[in-house]
Amino acid sequence: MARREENVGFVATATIQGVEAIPVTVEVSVGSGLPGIHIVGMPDLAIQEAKQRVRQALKASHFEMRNRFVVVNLAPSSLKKIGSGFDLPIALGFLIATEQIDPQLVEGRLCVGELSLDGSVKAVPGQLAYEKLSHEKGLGLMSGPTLAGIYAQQGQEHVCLECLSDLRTGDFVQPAEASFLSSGCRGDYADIAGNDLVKRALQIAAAGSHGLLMEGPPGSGKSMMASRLPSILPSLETDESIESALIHSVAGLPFENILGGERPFRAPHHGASRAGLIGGGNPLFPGEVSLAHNGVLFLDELPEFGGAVLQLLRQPMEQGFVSLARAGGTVTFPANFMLVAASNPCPCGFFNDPKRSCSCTPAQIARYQGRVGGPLMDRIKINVDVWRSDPSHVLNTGRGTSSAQLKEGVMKARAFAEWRRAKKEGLGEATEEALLTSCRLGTKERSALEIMAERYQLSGRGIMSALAVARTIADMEESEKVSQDHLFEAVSFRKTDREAVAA
Amino acid sequence: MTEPLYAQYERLELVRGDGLYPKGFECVENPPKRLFLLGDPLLLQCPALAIVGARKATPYGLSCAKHFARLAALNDIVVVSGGAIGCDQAAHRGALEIAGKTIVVLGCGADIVYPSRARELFDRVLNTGGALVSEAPWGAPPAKWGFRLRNRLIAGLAQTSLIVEAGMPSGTFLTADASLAQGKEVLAIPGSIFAKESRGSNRLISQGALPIVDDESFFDALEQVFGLSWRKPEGSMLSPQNTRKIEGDRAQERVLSAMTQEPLRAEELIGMCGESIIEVIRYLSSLELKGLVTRLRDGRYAIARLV
Repeated sequence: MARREENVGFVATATIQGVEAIPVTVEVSVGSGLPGIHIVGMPDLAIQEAKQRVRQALKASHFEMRNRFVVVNLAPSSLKKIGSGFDLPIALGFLIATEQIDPQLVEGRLCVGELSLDGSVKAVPGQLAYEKLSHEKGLGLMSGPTLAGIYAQQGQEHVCLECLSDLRTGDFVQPAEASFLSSGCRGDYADIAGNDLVKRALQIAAAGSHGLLMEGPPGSGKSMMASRLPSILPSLETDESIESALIHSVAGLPFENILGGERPFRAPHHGASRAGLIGGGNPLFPGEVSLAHNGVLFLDELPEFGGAVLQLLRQPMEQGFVSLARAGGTVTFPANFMLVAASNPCPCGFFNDPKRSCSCTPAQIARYQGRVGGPLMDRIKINVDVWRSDPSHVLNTGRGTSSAQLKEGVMKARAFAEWRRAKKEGLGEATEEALLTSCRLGTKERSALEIMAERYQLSGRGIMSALAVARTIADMEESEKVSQDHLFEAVSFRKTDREAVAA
Repeated sequence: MTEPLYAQYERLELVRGDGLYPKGFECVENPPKRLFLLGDPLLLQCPALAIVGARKATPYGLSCAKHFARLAALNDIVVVSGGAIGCDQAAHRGALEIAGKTIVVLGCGADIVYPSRARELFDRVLNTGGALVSEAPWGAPPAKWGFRLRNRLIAGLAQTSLIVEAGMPSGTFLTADASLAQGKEVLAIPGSIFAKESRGSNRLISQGALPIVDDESFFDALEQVFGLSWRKPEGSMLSPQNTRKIEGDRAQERVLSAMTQEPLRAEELIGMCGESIIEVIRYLSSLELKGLVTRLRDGRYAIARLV
């Protein structure tokens, strides 16, 4: 990529936009004039500050840095560039323009890295995105010392530069070998005694990727239940794991476990801001919904999240991505997650507790449960009440239904659903009509469903939710038809009519 | 509010000493100087039975409240209660079902609908010749103490009080205490000793309240208090020989009789109507669909209707 022109150095690099690396060429021209470095081409503040870092790093590495008139252009100039990864390409461009290093060093390589004042090079967030781009462009990658990503294992050239002075000798180090293994330390459902109903609900949710809400008093084990969910989900497929790892890489978070196939599990605190949850900020950062892509988003204390924040979850839950419209254009982050929420039944938390009495009035309870808002609740298909286990049960741990047992059902259901979809026109259950067809209800089932809908006053969406859940239950039993039993089970996970008892 | 509520009904104020002022109030603690009333003032002089119970009631309590309110109304006894969610409203509805007269004693102004969802119920009370009563002036907003105080008036208007379901501390106790303080008989409906919802009423019985165990004991109590010869309801009676026949297989019988004791969680029924949780929830759903059981707000299952 680097061409040699009169006093101009060209270096290929990239900037991050969303979860993608966009190619950028750094052009450095060195000439006579008033000494100083000028950076043009829509740099952000971090890039503007590169001037000082580059100057000091070059000096520390004993390159010649006499007072020169230096212009750095980041092309294409209309694209906004962000991040500190431009330090290295700017320094390289300068060295090429002043003929201090061999242009061959950057030939065919995408260069990214941040410089330290002592001349050492550091890796920047978004490693995997840069790797992906250079892989697609057929380039090698030059970066600060880091772990080898997934593409390096596939034979892509990836060299690491420890410090600028190594450029003289061309001594590169290889990225450190990374072992991509699922950590597997999330715990097992066998740790939790009893609570078979909740485990069953989680199993169905995992099998069909349905949203789930657990309701129960504090200390009933809702978080314990949710955090073990990845243990019953199938491992990530390679392309899924790359998608998820990319997002983590851009956010500067570790992604080795994800590349090892472990599904992400994100549990943001209920104080999470809008930008924290769905993404935003400047520079643009993926939110929790995106970090949970292909994994689980667990919202504990659901009603405590701001109502407005929760409504933002609707778009990702329907479409599997978030679009953030900014002045500079719209950025899209993938956000295809499974929502698991937990909630206390009432403000004091002891509404259905057998041992402690609840001090809330029915009106308070209704208000508390109403905080989440209908549209989001409609998208939660499985509702289950969690009860605190008896102490004798808790001490009897290790005897409960285990993750392995539950996972078996999940895998069976997923495989069967896939087979079913492949056999059909491949429509899946995306539309209501397709869902209804896929259930293959007989006359008996149809009339049972009608009676249920009437008795429980199910809305249209409620009926569809019940059908979707029943379809998943049938998949677990590898049944092409949804039977009455499947429907019975599915409606038991509907949202309880909170008014029913008072009437 | 654009239009005053209940505009078509005359707003009455009864001053202590008036002919229409209920005699029963002379023996309540701190009798109200004025009584504000919508509906028929003569109702306050009629023989009346107070039926009260918990707001967080189970289907058992609701069924009892409704059932005995209906029986009382059938014998032209006015049903007095507090209009609260749960047992109180069930009692009003029971009386209204056979177009009986019923009095709602409120803790806020008598022209204030509280709880707000009771609008339709209060309308029906007035339309059937009942009354809304309060010692708080017109338009007084709901306040906690107001509802505590009105319990003594509920007891005062009635010759006897029936406690259908009460937890263990409970506002329902205030009505029972007021009744006793006024030298009146207290009736209570027993429940399972394991059900926390019935702990209060069971305790009242152990302290001397008259237990109501079937229709006959109820009518005996009415005879004792009101001295009337009672009118039998049409159809079946609630008596040990004649409780609702539970039809169906043995599993169903076992499940339903287990739930008669107290509401149960699905997990507690494993082994009774299914070997695994999956079988149990499917079975319970099928019973729910038949209208035999109902799921409570906390996820437990209980018998849907007893009578």
